[in-house]
Amino acid sequence: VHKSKYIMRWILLIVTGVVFALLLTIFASFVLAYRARAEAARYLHVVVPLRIGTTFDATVAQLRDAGVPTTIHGDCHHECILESRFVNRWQYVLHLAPPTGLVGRIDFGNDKLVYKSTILGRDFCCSAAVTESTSTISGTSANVDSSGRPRKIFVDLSALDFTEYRKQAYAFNLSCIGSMRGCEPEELLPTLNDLERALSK
Amino acid sequence: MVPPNLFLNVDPNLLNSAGGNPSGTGTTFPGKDDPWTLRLVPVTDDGADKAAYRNIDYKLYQLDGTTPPLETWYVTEHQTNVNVAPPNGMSGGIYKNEFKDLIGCNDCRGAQSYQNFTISKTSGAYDPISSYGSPTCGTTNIVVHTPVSGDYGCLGLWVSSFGNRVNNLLRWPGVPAPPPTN
Repeated sequence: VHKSKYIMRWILLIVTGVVFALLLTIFASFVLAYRARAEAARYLHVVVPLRIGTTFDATVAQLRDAGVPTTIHGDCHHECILESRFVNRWQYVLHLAPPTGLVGRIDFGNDKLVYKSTILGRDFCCSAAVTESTSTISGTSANVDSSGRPRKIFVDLSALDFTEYRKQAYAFNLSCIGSMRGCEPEELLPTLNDLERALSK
Repeated sequence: MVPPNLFLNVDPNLLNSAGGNPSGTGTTFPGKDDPWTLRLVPVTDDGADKAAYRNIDYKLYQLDGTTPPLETWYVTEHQTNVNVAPPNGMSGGIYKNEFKDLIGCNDCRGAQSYQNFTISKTSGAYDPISSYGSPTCGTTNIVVHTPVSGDYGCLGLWVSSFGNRVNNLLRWPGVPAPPPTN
């Protein structure tokens, strides 16, 4: 009797430990998702006003000061890409939420910023992408699915456009990162209708 | 991933077998363009190794690969892996003579799919009556013309957060990245 009680106590202890560890992991996954969201906000704060032609060193310094983690692909004396990803990785590893994240990409050529791309996307479902290009005219468009619903939203932003349009173009709904139900396509960039209206004027 | 040989280079008889008019005279079509002579050409491609997303801008041109069509066409993509273009593997159909392809996902380790294109005079969802090309990756598709790699009726996609490949290429050779702004 004494031995079975001893075993039961151990089993109870192990089960309690496993449940506690699981709860802690779930809690940590949410904390990390919120951290990713906060980092994404800091990234946008730095990147939105960045102008084409900004030097690599100046860009990196701004991102570092903002505490934004970045990865460099390539040789930045010639051509390179600075990429930052803010994804709710642990939430979807634990099947608590669909993978959703902001991916920021800045291309440099000869030490100067030449191209910016910022994408908020949810797994394969949908995405909203803002790219800054040579075009002097900003525009929005979308790929629609077979029912006519937008799935991939594109905003081509003129690098010369520093009007309200720029602010609206980068108004990503960062609360999608860590959202358990997952955002619908139109929720990724809630200002899409405003952007389209601004262009039709 | 590279598609089977059958899909890669366009058979010279493909246009005939598809019911098209390879001579490009347009005599068998009511409009100004012969749809079977139109080519989808990648004009910019920002693909790179380890990059999570890849933006390819395809534009529709006449057989020479540089002259725009005489009329307005709408391009629709078709994927054999429906997850890549949910809910049923089709997307697009609203741009005039253009298709913007954003390939990627968030932290996915890899998904493969075959992609092909159809064109239509009407925008929106694929309509089997008004569209030219097949919604499946067969031999009757609108041809993708690339400046260096050749012509393809079907493309093989490998979608991964660690670099997205089309026909096993991280970027179409000879196709520029979006150019810098002056």
